[in-house]
Amino acid sequence: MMFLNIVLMTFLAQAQTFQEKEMENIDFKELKNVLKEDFLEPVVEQKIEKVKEIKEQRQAQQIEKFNYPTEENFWGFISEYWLVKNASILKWDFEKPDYGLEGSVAELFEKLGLYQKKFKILPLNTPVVAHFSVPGNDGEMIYLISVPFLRSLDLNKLEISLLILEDYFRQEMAFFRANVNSPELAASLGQNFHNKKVSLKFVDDVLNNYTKLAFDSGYTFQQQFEVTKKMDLMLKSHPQIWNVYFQLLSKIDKLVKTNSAYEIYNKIYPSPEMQIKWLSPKEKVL
Amino acid sequence: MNILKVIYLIGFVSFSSFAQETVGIFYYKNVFGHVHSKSDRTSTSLTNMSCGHPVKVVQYQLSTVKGWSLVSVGDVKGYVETRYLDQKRPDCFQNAHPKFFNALNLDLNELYYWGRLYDQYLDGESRIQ
Repeated sequence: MMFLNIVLMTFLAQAQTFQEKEMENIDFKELKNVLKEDFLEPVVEQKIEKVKEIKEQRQAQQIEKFNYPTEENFWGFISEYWLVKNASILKWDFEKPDYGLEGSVAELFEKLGLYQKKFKILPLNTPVVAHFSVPGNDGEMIYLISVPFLRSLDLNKLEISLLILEDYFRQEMAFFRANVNSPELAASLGQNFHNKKVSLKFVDDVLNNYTKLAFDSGYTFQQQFEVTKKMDLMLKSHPQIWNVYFQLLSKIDKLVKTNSAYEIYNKIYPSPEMQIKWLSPKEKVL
Repeated sequence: MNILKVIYLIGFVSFSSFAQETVGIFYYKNVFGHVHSKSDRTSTSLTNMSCGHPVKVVQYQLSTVKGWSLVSVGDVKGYVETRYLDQKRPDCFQNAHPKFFNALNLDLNELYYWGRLYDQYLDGESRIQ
């Protein structure tokens, strides 16, 4: 099927328009006098112009094929490419029950006034990444959530939705992109490599940065502080949900201190203990 | 003359069977995807297709299973989620940046997993109340 497509594309690329064939088959120089006598010279000139235009358009189309992705369509693509490349580590391809998580996340977002936020949730069958988010296509976000992590904490849908809300802010506050960017990326996006060798260094750099961020370095204390403060601000007007969030952080703090499978959590999201401190009311000194 | 009649007859018969068995030609709109053996995301993949691939829809929106259509792709007949089909040719990443995309040299394993990704996503959206 793919072979047929390639053959068809090659044929279409080589196909000439009627005007181009006409220009090739008729020698207008030989007919110059006849054309002059019949006042057809302007018609020939028009035809020559038209063929020139067609050839220029075709060349522009050929050059366009060598475009690197743009900022708009790069992130969703590279996120999925990273998910595909790490499928065997992230273990997202598994059979699972219908958790109904989409509804509870949408409900929480709506309660907080975060409307028209499209998202995809990708459950993982591994504890290596507890929760994480990557940008999707068209402003969408992709949330990764570890099922073993949820089970270890016995989290309910609201608690899971709050973890996803934290990840939403990490994207929204541009912390994710700040951490995975590379100098080559900005220089390549939207550029054209016609007559040059294609460079995939920026792709490799960004993929490596995704991996580093998710499995190793994580977010900074400053970024984590700002996310926690944002959560505090958003949930203040919903005291019940705020309390659930506070309790959730305590649960995670306890888990990461006692279960070696989640040791890395403190490095990726430093740290639940600090988050609890940042959220706790300051003690008054009398 | 007789040959013309035969050609006309063959054309008519094939058009009639096409009209009876096909709702229309749709296009697959994710980067890659699978035609499933059952109307179930976990069912086995019969074949892999890429974005913009024409899909002959035999039954649009199955009455028995919500959100799935019965399709025919090449000589394979199977099931695809209806939301991944488009009546118009979609704007595909691989068509917009063909040389870049080809340079990535995706292997068969990656094509398979990329298609599976859309089977595993849980999609949602918050709406204005």
